[in-house]
Amino acid sequence: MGYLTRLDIVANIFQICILVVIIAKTIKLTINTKTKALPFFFALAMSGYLLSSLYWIAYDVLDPDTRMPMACNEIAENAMILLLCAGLETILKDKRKIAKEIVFAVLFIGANIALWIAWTGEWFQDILFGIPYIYFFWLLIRGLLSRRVLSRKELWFAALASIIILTMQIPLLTIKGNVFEVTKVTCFMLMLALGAWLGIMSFRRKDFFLASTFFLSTELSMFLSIGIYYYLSLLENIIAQLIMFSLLKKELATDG
Amino acid sequence: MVNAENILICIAVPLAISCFFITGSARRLIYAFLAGMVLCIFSAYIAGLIQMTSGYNTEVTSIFLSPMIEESMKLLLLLFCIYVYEPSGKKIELLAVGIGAGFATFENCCILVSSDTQQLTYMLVRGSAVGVMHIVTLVALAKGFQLLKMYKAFSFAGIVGILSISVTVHGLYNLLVSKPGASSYIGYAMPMFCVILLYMVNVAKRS
Repeated sequence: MGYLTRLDIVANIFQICILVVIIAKTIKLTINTKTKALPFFFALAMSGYLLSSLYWIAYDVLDPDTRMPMACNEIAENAMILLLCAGLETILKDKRKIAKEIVFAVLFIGANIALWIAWTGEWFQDILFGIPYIYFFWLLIRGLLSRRVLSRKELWFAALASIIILTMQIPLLTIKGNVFEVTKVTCFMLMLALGAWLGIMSFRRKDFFLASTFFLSTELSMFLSIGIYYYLSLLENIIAQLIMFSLLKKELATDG
Repeated sequence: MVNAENILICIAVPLAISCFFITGSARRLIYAFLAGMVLCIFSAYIAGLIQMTSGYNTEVTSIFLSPMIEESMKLLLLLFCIYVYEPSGKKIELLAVGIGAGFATFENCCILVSSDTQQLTYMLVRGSAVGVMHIVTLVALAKGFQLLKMYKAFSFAGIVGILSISVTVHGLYNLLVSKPGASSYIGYAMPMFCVILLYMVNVAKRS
């Protein structure tokens, strides 16, 4: 078993420990609260994530250092995204379906999907499993806009930074040597910085939609990262889960 | 080579005949059981077709593709029943158990016919693991639907989300039992563990 595989297993075990605590606490919250839909979906979504990690570890142990013929754990990650969507649907007050929000969600996640395909070549799987992310992102944009959590300037900043990161990923597919290294470091640092900014903002503004956006950004970062940057994104992802859980409690308190 | 259709006819005819003489939930259970068996044969055909067109080998198909196909088929049947007959919570569970039991029984019958039936241990493991797995995933699906209805959140995202979880549980089981050793023991124990978990949820709900 290679070093990276072992590191993967350790990272997943760490994530499982955090997820088990979050799920247990959320189930307790579901039992004790009046508004049950959101914590119910959140607990199920995190269970999906837990299953994904378990599947990953099982595959790593049984077939180390090989690529899955079909990434079944992505089904569990899709479950997580869809169940988070179902949860967000229950608290989203905005009933507008404005075309530009849909177009932006399709273009942004579409660009991400194109990059995944360029990295892996699994076009059918990447497109199929990318669709829930479009819906999730669309719900998040609508939530952020209707709740006015971020100012117009901040929204533009986040959108611009995301586009720059995506654009910088394209040359990484083709260039080599020193230019590759410089671009790689700049791109991934920017990606992590955007994640950290979203994390800080969601912690300050205390909004579940913003925390979910932070979670989505870390998910996308993980899909596009390699080596140490992947593990840093994973760390951000774990922090995002914890922030989401703490803001879930706040959301329920506000609802009640 | 197993003539699955012949086995299906052999098991299904007595059950179908018995439906003339029973009523109520017993009849519903038998109908669901029969539907589960038919579903099993359909799933096998679809898996075979996808295997042929995709070029994956038998092992990859059974570990990675079968859970997706089987769970999706079971979900479609359950959704059909929910939307057409609009059953209550208890009836949904009854349907789920019937479909799951029919599916598992027919799959086990085909395995019995195609492989060696001398080893009692293997048969016991097969019966209490694979058989239980089909019932567990379907009961979990039904329970998920009941909760979606209860929370008035019966949306597409919720339905597909719950389906994806049951596919992953099934996929994880198939992956674990695919290799001999400790992982297979964990895999065989998984359905029973899920049964206990679901039973605890039932008890907690009642109390």
